[in-house]
Amino acid sequence: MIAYTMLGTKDKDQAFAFYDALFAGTAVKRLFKTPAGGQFYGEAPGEPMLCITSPYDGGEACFGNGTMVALHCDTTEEVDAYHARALAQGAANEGDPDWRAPDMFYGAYFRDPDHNKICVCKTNFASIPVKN
Amino acid sequence: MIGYVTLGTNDIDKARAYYDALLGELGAKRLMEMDENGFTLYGVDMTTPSIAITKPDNGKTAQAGNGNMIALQMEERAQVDGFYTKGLELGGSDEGAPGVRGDEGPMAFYAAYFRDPEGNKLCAFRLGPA
Repeated sequence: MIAYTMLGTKDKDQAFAFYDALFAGTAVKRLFKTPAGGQFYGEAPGEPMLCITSPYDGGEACFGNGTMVALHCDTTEEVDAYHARALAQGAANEGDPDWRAPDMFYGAYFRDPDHNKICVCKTNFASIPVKN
Repeated sequence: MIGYVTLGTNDIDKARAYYDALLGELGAKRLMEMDENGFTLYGVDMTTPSIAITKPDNGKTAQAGNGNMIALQMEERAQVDGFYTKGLELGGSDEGAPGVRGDEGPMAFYAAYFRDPEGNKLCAFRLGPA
C-alpha cells in the first residue's frame, strides 16, 4: 500500500548526513533525488522508500505530532543497533529498545535532527490472524 | 524497510470513519485497534507497510507536519482519480488535482494530492503509461 513516505527537513545536508549514518551497514541506501533535491532512501526502487525533503510549499519544515515512521527490522539486535547509531548521531532518545508487547513488538524510538519521530521495531505482526 | 507510518489525530472516531472509507477503497481494513491512544492500524495484510492513526503518545494536540507525506501507489490512473475524489468527498482538502507531473510516457508520474481533515498530506499516484 505505501510506496514511500516523506519527512520534512530544514537542513537537507544535516538530515542526509544523519540518515546516511543511520542506514550505514544496512540494506538501505541512497536511491535517487527528487527534482527539488529531496533524497530517497530504500532497499531498492519498487520497495517502500523514505524521502527526506524540504517542504513542497517552500515554507519551513515542521515535524508532526502523532506522526511517526516505523522502520522494520528482522531481529532485535538490528533494532538495538539502529537505536545506538541514531543516538550516536545526536538523536533525541524517545524510548530504549524493549519488548513493548511480549513476543509481539520489540521497539525503540528516537527523533531525527528535525524532530521527526522514528521507530525501529521487530514485530511478530505477521502471526496475527486477519479477520475478514 | 517501512513497517508502518502513523498519522496524528485529535478525534479518533472521526479519523477512523475517514480512513475506514478512504482506505477501504484500496481493500485495506482495520488490522489492529488498541485502547491506548486509539491506535488503529490499517492495511491489506500484516506483512505489507500499513498506516496507523493515533492520538499523540505525549498527550498533546496532534499536529500535521510540513514536509511530511504518505504516497500510495495505484495500479491505474482511474484509481488515482477515484481515491482523490473520495479523499475530498470525505472532508479532505485539495493539494493538487490528478495529472501527470513531469513528462508523459512509459514512466509518467500521474499523481493527486490532498490532506485528511486534520491536515495530514497524502498522495495517490500511478507510475507508468496512461
